[in-house]
Amino acid sequence: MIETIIQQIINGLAVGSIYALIAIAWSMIFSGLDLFNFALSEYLMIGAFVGITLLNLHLPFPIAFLLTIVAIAIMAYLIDLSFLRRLRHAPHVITMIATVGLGVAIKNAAILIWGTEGAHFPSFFGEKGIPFHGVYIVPQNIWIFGIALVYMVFLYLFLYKSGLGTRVRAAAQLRVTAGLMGINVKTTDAVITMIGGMSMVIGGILVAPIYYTEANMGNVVALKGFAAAVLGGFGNLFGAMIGGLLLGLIENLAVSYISSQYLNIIAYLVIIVVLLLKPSGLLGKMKR
Amino acid sequence: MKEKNRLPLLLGILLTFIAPLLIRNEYHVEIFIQMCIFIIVALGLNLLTGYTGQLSIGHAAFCAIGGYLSGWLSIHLHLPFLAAFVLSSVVTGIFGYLIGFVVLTTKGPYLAMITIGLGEIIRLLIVNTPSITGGPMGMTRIPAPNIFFFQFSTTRSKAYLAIAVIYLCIFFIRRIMSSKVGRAFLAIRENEDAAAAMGINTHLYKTLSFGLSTLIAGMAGSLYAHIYTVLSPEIFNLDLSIQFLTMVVVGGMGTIIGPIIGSIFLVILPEFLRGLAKYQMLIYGVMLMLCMSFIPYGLMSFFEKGLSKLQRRR
Repeated sequence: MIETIIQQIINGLAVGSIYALIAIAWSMIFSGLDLFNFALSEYLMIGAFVGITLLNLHLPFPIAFLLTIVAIAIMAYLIDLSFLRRLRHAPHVITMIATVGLGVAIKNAAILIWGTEGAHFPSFFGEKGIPFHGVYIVPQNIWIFGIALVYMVFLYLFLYKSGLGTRVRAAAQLRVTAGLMGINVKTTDAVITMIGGMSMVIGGILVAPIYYTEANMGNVVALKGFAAAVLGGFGNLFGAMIGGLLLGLIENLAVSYISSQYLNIIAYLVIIVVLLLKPSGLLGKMKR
Repeated sequence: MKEKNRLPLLLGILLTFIAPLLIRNEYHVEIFIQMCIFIIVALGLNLLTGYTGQLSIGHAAFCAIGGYLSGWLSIHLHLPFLAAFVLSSVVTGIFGYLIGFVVLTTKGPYLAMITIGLGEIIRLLIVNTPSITGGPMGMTRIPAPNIFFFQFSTTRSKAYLAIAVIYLCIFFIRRIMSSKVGRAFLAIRENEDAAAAMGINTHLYKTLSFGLSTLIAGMAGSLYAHIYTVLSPEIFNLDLSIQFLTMVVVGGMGTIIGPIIGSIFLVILPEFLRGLAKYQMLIYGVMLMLCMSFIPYGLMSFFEKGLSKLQRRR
């Protein structure tokens, strides 16, 4: 019994760290740019496809990984520069529908490039479980958790210990005031956009070996990431991390007690109950 | 307001009555009916999003509730269409009111997430209770609509039924918006804190708006169930809810004509783009982006500008 629980906790942490990465993207973009970007799920999908394409060129995994991240970060920046910047001051509903359109366009562009069948993303870290004191440890899960953790530590150091990171946080908190204080808001916007894109694509590459890579792969994971961001509360790096890990744990622990059909119901119910008790998420502050 | 040129409006009204007769192709009449049902939901959602300024990305679920309830009432209790229609939409409205009462304490992304979550929960519950709803196989053999002795059996008569419901909704919404309740909705949209300071019970009115808007969604769901005589849980998904919101926003929030134009545009556009085959959805997405960046306040504002220019020239 205890082994099953430990097993599910390990699986939950792996899935949860992917949710946490995606939640960071949602949280950064929403609190930094005041933007609901419903096209984020497509960044994830494009990342997985670009990764596969680069790997098919026989590039070693770490180089392909880094190149994909850079490519998607640049793509995110260009999309922001050419389109989303126009909507910076529009109401939420309008930016939401605009990014829904953007998402449809990106998804169908991807279908034109890579086709509808999709592809299988090769697993690099081994999917076979290794028995360890009655628990099966899948190396892939350890790698997922490790990579996500390293990325989050770097992100923390960048945001909280570097000059540029401090400027980004200031601009995210009070945009106009930060601009008056001599912070170049355009630079911080670009940084926020790129961090959003990077978090999404790392999540995408880590999730790709688990899911089949196809044009709709982003939808479910991105929605879970959004749920995690809301659960943890926006505007807070730790909120997104905790929300993601918690959601992964809830899902994986619930699956051993109830049938998988009711899994999503439980996950959404937990989020709704948390929000009703604390309307700004677990760690979020109410913005007035 | 009185001096406004009423000619386009009258022409539009006339067009709705002869449109089903003008359309020759049976398939196009089907699309016309679908468009009418979308218009009904969009009008209802506009009451919440356009007039009261609150967000819902879960309206497809309320359509599903209205539809399934209406279907169940007429299959198992043999209620006539009119009774099932009224009962199911009122029950959906009450259910929406109760949900709104709990949920509308949250705002922005949190409200968006809660409505998404609710929509998914309701859809999953429908899929997982096959004894009542037919589960993933859907509900079949729902009786076609009839009013007393008149059977709506042809597609054109069904189109007229849908048009009649649209006019009922427009009448209903206009009455609400010209009352104290409507002015409270607008005050909440403009500035919630100021409205509260003026003595408006903002939570009560927001809840009322949510209830009324889900009541209209329930009407659309019930109509859908009886017109198509089958229901499948898969159509009432998140994409449909987002599509409803898109119709309201693209058409122009906070007007009555706006959601109608938005629904017509978004139903007809993919049909026009069908000739482009694999580029269809790509162009659709780009069109949506262009609409939102060049006419963010909706097609309605675009037409209004053109109309006033025309009048000035005269």
